[in-house]
Amino acid sequence: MHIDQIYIQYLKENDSRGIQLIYNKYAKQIVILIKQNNGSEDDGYDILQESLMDIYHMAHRRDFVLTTSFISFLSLVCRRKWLNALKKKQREQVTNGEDELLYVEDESYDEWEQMLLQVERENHVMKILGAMGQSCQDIIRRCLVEKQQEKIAESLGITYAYLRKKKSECMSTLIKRVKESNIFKSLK
Amino acid sequence: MENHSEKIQDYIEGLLAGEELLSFEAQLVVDKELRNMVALQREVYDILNRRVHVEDEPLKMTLAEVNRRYRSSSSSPKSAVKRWLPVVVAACLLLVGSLFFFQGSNELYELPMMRSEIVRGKMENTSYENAVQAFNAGRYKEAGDILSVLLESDPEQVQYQYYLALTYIGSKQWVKAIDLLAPIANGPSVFSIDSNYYLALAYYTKGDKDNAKMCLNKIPAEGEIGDKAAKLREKMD
Repeated sequence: MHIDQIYIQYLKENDSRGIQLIYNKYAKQIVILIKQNNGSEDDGYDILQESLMDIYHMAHRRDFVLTTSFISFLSLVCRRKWLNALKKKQREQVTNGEDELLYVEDESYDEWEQMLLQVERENHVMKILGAMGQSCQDIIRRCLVEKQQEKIAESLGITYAYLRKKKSECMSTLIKRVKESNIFKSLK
Repeated sequence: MENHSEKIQDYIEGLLAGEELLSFEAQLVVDKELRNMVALQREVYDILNRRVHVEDEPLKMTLAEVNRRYRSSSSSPKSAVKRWLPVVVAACLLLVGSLFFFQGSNELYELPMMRSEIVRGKMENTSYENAVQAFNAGRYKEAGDILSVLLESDPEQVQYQYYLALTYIGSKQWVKAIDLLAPIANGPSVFSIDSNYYLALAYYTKGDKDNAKMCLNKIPAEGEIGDKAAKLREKMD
């Protein structure tokens, strides 16, 4: 385990002082990196924020161990995220080539690549869920967390049959939108 | 396909049993598309299961706050104006656009479809399903009569109360609608947000703009109801 694991801990524990330290030490480097690759200062800060969230989610995996410096890892996540944003905007003129932008001298790169891909998939699914109606979101979340659906129905003032029907429709809509978005094929 | 999707959900959640399970598994062996659908749904379920157990909102808020503090301590007032200018311009354009497009629209009074309870063809509550059919066909009086009986037999069922209230909206009985919607709008049920909208609509139609605005303020900006609430607010202003 790398000594910089402490920064991962700051994120996991939502330690605002620790997070402030991350910003003080690394924010400028990340913003410069993005600006050097056709991004603005706003892009840089947005990418930094989103990447720290991604690292937080990766850190919840049981097999996650930081094996390099935090800045190397953070740069990799930010680079990848920025490259995806550029592709999305169809802005092809990246100052550095794609390979150079993503190049990191570390043998764990392939493992991280897989983890990042998984987090991106998760982000997409959660984004689609977040765009659904509030009642669908509530029902899906509660049914996954609380399990006892009869009790959920009772607390929501609806019949068990209605809850099942509604949940089923919500899940079908979610799956349909995930399928239409084609994200599981397009993320490589 | 929707029924298919329901069956896949039941399969993944372990709710299929006996004949139904055997027949589904036999179909899985020969149907590649079904296998792909099961794989996709299973992956989405796994993702949801992982993510809903991780509370990330507090970290998002901390990051936003630290980000704001860090940037304000390292940027000039001029750059801040520059940063917000596009947002202000976009907001102005949206306002002008919405005033132009949404005047006098009847969509504010449109009611949602009443949801059936039938899961994969199994009907357990015939009266309720009759109400669903009547409501969705716009026969609000008929739907209201059935729902009144159902509500009388099960007064705790918010679902019956909510749809009964909507039949009153549909038949323009605003006072009755307000009486039924007010407690739902202030309660914890899944109908709370939508009830606030229809309650606001009833108050507004009766000329009580203050109460209407109070209800609209409780509705989150996102989603279909958020959009309708924004349009109603614009109409009131």
